[in-house]
Amino acid sequence: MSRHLRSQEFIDALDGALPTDRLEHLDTCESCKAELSGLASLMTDVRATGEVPDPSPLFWEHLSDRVRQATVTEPVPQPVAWWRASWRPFLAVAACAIVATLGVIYRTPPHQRDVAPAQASADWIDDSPSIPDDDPAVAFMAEAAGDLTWEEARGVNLTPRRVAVDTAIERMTAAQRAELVRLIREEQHRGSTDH
Amino acid sequence: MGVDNDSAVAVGWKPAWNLRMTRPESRVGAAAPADDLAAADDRGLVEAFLAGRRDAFDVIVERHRRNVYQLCYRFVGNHEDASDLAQDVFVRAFKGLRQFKGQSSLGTWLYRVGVNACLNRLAVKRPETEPIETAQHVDARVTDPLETVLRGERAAAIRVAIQKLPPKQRATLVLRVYQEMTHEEIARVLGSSVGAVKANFFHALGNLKRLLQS
Repeated sequence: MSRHLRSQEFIDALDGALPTDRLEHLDTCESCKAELSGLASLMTDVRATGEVPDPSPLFWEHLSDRVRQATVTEPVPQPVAWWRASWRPFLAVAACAIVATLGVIYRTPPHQRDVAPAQASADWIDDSPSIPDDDPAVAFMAEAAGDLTWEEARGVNLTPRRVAVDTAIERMTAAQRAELVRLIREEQHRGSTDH
Repeated sequence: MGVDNDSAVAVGWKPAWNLRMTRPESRVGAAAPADDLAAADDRGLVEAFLAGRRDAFDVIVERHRRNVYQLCYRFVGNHEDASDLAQDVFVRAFKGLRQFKGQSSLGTWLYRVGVNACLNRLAVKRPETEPIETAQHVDARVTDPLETVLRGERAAAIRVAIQKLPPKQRATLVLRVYQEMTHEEIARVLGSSVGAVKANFFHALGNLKRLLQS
C-alpha cells in the first residue's frame, strides 16, 4: 500500500487536482478518505458563514469621505524617476562609459604626438584591450561620455573604482608607466604654473 | 420654497423657466470624477493618480471599497474594526501606490496591502467578535426552527473558531474560502510559496476542526 496523502495533497484533492497515482491510493485508503471527507464538509460549513452583513448604504460614501479626509494633506506620490527605477542598468551603462572614455583617453593621449616615445605608444596600443572602432556601442558611449570633463564625471560619480585604476596600472608595461609618470608630472607642473 | 426637484417631478410640476442643472462639484472639478476616469481601467487610474490627479484615487476607492471592507470584516469579524481597517488600507495604498508595478491586478495588490494591515492589527489587538451579529446570518428560509437554530449555532461557532486561528492560517483561509483566490494568488499576496499556502490551509482546517470539537 502506498503512503498516505500529505497535507498539500489533501488540499489538491479538495481542489480536484490530485494526480492519478495518488487518486488510486485515495480510492483504497479509508483513513485518507475519511480525512478528506471531513475537510470537505468543514470547508462547506466555513463557506456558508462567509456572508458579510451589508453595512448601511450610506457607509460606502462615508468610507470614501474618511479616506479623502485622511489623505487630503498627503502629497500625491510621484512615480519613481526613470533614472532611479533603472539605476542598475544605468550603473552598467556608466561603467561601460568609463571603460570607453578611458579607452579613448588612453588611445589618444593629448601629448602623445609631441613627446611620447614612438615605442611606448606602440606598446600602449598593442597592450590595450581591443576595442573595435566600428562597434556601435563603443561609438555611442564615446559620444555620450566623450565630452565630459573629469570634474563633470566626478560630479555625477562616474569615477572608476580604485581597484580598477590599480589593475590598469599593474597591467602597464614599464614604458607605459614611465610615460604615465611623465604625463602626471607635466600636469602637476602645469597646475603649479597656472596658479 | 421647500420643494426639492424629485418631489416636484413626482407630482408632475414643471417650472416655467428653463434652468440648466449642473452639479456643484462638476463646476469646481473636485469631488466628481471626470468621465475619462470613470471609464478608465485600474491601470489607467493608477497612471492618472501618479500623474497628479487626486480624483483618480477617489475612483479607485469607490471601485474597490466593498472588496477591501469585506476582506477586513472577514479578518476581524466586526463592522467597527473592519471600517477602520478598510480606511487604513486605502491610506496605505495612497501613500504606496507608486510602488504598484502592475505585475498583478490592482485588486490583488490592494488585497496584499489589506492582508498586511489586518495581520498588523491582529498582532497588536485581538478583536472581540460580535456574537449579536451571528443572529443575522441564520437562514430564515429554512422552515424547521430547530435546524435554523442549530445552523446558526454552528455558524457562530465557526466564526469564533476562525478568529482563534493563527494570523497566517486565518489569512490563508479567508483568501481561499471567502475571497475564492487561487493558491498562486494567495502566495503572491502573502509573499510565500504555493506549497506553504497549501500547508497553511491544511493546518487552518485541521485547527478549525479541533477548535470546533473542543
